[in-house]
Amino acid sequence: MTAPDIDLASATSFEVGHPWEQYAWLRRNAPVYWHREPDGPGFWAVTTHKEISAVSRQPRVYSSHAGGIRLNDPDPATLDAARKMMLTMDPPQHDRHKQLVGATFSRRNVAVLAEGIGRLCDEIIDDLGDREQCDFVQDIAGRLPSGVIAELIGIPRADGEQLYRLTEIIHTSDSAYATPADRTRAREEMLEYLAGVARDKRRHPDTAIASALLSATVDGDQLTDDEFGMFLLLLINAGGDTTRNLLADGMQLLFDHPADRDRLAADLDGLLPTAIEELLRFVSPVIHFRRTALQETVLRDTPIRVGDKVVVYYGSGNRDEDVFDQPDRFDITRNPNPHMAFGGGGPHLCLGLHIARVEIDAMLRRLLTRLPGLAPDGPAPRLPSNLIAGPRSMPVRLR
Amino acid sequence: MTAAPPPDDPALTVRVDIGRCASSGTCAAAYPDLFLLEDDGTLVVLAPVPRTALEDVRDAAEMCPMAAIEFDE
Repeated sequence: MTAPDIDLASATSFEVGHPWEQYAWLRRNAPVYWHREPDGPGFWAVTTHKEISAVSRQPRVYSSHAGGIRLNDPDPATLDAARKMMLTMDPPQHDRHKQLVGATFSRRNVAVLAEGIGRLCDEIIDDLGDREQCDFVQDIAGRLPSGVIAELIGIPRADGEQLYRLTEIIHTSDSAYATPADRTRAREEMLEYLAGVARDKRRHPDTAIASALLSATVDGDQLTDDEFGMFLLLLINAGGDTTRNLLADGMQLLFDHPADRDRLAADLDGLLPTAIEELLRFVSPVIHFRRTALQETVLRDTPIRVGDKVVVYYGSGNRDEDVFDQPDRFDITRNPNPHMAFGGGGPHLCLGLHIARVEIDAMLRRLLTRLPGLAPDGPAPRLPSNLIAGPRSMPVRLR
Repeated sequence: MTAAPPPDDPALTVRVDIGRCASSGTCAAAYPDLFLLEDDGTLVVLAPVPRTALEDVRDAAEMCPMAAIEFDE
């Protein structure tokens, strides 16, 4: 195989989906690859399952706090703000924050939420009425996570949907679609709204997560309004467009594999569990996370210096030939399926993995039975981002 | 990893399926006297686990995101 042009930094490389060819070449030839950066010091691009896992599971070597979790270096103010989120914390601070919400996202609690999530899915489909066409992203997939998060926070569903629109701007890489100023504005708008939520919930506590967070203590202190806002911002951002994109790209995969779709629709209880894991593996909604080396170390024979940026590519780990038999084959019965769609393990393993699975299960189940005529209806432009993979819109025919 | 009880000790047998364990540290953060997450991500059961810790072990197994903790009552 000839070397493709390697560029995992610019958003344009992800315009038509993950750059699978680049990933494959890197896995074979340079699993820990020194990648130049036009406006930065360069970084190590890590593309094999084993090494992504090693980086993810050694937070004392590979820090999220030191330089943030995005490939592009943040300005000091942005990094400072980001460090109030557990995504950008290291243990032990990270673990103390995670314990605040751990119970909410536990398997047991999510099982309790499942019924409501199913109802929400039915309402989303009911709302389509007798329309012939719609945008799958905005009218179906996006409404689910934003509705679930609104329910968890204890705010009106319409507000949840507005917050999720801001998420999309925050996750976009530099482009005509959203400038750094747009991203800052979107984040400020979100925090302003959440400061209002904090005021409201302090006055009128309820049983939703926002009230629990406001009364919880970390290291003997209560969360400040700022920390509270960033905490919810993380829940909204992490649970919003990732789930939406998994549903949209996942549905597209089923459009592309009609025999699998039919088989799945005919045996939802039997096949949905493994099919969902395969959709997660194939779609990989999160493209990369970045760590910063806190000490000299060696990764697959490659010396890493203190301060080096180390960027792991989950989509590549999910196609690693050493772990998955025929990795490019879409197989809804694949089992075991140790994919990295929820991260490579370690403290930052996705907290929302149970609720995400319940959401995907509930929605696919209904889409495949209630809308059997669902079909693509035009091109689906993708989010210009080197961080999050997914379509911005996806026109579909409903019957 | 198995914390096997001596024959006449009423300790619990707690196993971690290392193939499933994602080193999230959820159990070790909640029950540091029962589980230790080493710096390289290896999870260790701090044996012996006394029978009095049954409820804690049950809770740790329930909260494990990967369902990697098993135990014999």
